[in-house]
Parts: sequence; structure tokens; C-alpha cells
Amino acid sequence: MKHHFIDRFSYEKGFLQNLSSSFKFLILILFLFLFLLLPKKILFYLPFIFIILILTFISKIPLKYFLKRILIIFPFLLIIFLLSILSNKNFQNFLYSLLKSILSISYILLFSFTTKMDDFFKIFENKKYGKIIFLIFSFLYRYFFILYDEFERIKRAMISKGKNPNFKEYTILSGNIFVKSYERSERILKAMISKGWKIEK
Amino acid sequence: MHIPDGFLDFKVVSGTNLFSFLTLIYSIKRILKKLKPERVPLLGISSAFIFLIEAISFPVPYGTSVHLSGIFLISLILGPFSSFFLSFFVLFLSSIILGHGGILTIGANSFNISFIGGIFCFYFYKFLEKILPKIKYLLIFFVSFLSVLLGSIFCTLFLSISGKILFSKAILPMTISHAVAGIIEGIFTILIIKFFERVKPEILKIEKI
Repeated sequence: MKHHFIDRFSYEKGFLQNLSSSFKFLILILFLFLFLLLPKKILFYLPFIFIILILTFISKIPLKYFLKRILIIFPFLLIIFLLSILSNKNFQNFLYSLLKSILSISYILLFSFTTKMDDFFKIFENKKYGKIIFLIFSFLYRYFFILYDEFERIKRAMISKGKNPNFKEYTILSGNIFVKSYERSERILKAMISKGWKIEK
Repeated sequence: MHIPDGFLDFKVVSGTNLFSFLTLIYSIKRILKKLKPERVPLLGISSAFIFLIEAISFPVPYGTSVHLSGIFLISLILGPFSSFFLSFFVLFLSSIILGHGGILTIGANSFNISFIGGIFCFYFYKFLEKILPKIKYLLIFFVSFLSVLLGSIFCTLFLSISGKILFSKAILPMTISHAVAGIIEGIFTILIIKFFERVKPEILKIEKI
């Protein structure tokens, strides 16, 4: 199965790709806090829209792909919009929250597009409790795609045997994936030990 | 529901983040104290499993689909604090790489999903199990259902404190829509537990942290 890895643009030679992950993450958090506190005047938002367009361009991220990825947030926004209408809340209030939300997601996605995930996880490695966080992130990011492939393979096998998976089959499939993960974790442990990983606290 | 950035105000963001980060630190301390190092790969791969469960959409009647959280299930397998810890990072990573939820709203989202589903529901289930040991599967269903429903109630509460919606008007549609997901989550959890009991019972005997 072909995966579109999230960090594929991080290998381009662009402006944001050359900055360190920890610096970018710090700036991202600062920007998100700034959006949280922005007053409800459109003039305050325009510079940030301008900055994101410039950053997208100089970091060589295709604008069409970028905009398409931002659309992922819209189902959530629709739910809040409907609840807001039901609540007879100020529509202008909702629009500014929407703007803040779209700006936040744009900057988050720009960060993830231009950062190699392995480099990002290393931010945590030398911090207090960082070792276990780094390990979990590394497992999570690497094995998600492997488990997803496994899920797709079992599902394909089910369909090819004439069994279109319903809810019950999906559940058994998920259970199977966990059992395989459990067995895989034992193999991984042996592989880690054989490569010199020490069992220590 | 994962609350995106931009919809919660400063007081809710700071309050929920403070609570979640303190719970996270406590969970990490407890895990580091009790976890056998040979269980590290299982913990890591379980986080990938939670991510997978959240990424899969199950078809439900009337042409719609729903995704599950699996947090209560993981707490039954690995324990409440492991479940909170893993779920917190799954939420964090899904907000970074997929744009589901937000970074500053991680406190609120991890409270609704990880704390309620992982810690609160685990202890609530253990409490109910002591009183009513004969109806184990019914309790698993009920608590799974409750984990989704309580999450939606707190989500509505946080949005209403931030002034985005009115709690009294939004609570009914929010709980009704999440009740469907809760029922599916409940059935899913029972079926998976029964599957483990039949196929690999040692999974349910893992030390719970």
C-alpha cells in the first residue's frame, strides 16, 4: 500500500525546512497563544494570513495541497456552527473563532509539513521524562503505518473470500490486529535487545 | 469530538492544560516506577493501535460512519494511567500530523477523551464490578457508553464556558449524537474483550498501571 507520508515536504530545500524543529515548535506555540488572545478586529488577522502565504511559498509547499489539507477541520467546524446556531449565539463571534481556528490549523500543518518527524521527536529525548516520550512517539509514528497496512491486508483477504466486513467483522479484525501487535511487541523486544538495547529503568 | 484550536478561551485552555499536564506527569512517574522495561515495546505499539482505531471509520446504517476511541478498552488491558499517557500522545500527534483537534486544546481534549475514558471510567468500572460481579459484560458496555457520553458532555461544557454555545441548548443534540457512537463503542469493547478471552487470554492478565 502506498502511504503519503506526512513529512514528505520536509525533505525539500525550503526556508522552514532549514530551521531547527525545536525553534519552529516554540514559535508555533507562541503563535497559537497569540491567536488565542487576538482581539475581534479583522485588521489583526490579516498580517498572519499574509505571513502564512509567504511561508508556504518560500517553503515550497504546493498551495493547492495545503488548502486541501486545511479542509480536514471543516466537519468539526460544522458541528460547532450548528450548535452555535441552536444556541442563538452571536454569528460574528463564531466567525472570529473560525478564523482563529483556520489560522491555527494552517500554522500547525505548515509545521508538520516542513519538519522531519524523527527530528521533532528528538526535542523530547533529553528532557525530564523525555526518554519514554521519545520511545512512545517513535513507536507510534513507525508502527501506525505497519498496523494500518496489516489492517488493509486482512480486510482485503476478507473481501476476496466473499465476506464484506460488517461491524462484527471489523471488531474481530481490530482484535486480531491487537493480538498481532502483542506478538510483534515480543519480537521487537528481542530485536532491540539483540541490537544492544539495555533493559534498564 | 476533538475540539480544534480557536474555540476555547484563555481560562478554559489554561485550566484544562494545567489539569492534564499534572495528570500526565503523575502518569509518567507511575509508569516509570512500575513498568517492567520489557513491556516498553507493548506500550509503544499499543499507542499505534489506539491511533489505528481512531483512524478507521466503521460503517453504520443510513450511510454514515463513526470512529471509535478504544481508550476504555486500552485501560482494561494496560491500566488507567498507561491508557491516559498513550492517549495523550495519540491526541497530540493526531493534532500535529493530521490536524484533528488542536495543540492548545490538548488539555481539554485529553480531559474529555483520555482522563474520562482512561482513568475515571476504569475506576468506575472496578467499583461497579465489585458490587455487581455477575454482569461483567453489561458493565463493560455501560461504562464504555458512559465514556463517550461524558466526553461529549464535558466538550459541550468547555465550549459553553468559552461562550461559543449555550449549554442548555446544545447538550441535547450533542448527547444524542454521541449516544449512537457510545452504543457502538460499548458493543465494540465487549466483542474485543470476548475475542481476547477466547484467542489470547494472557492479554487481559497484563499488569495494569
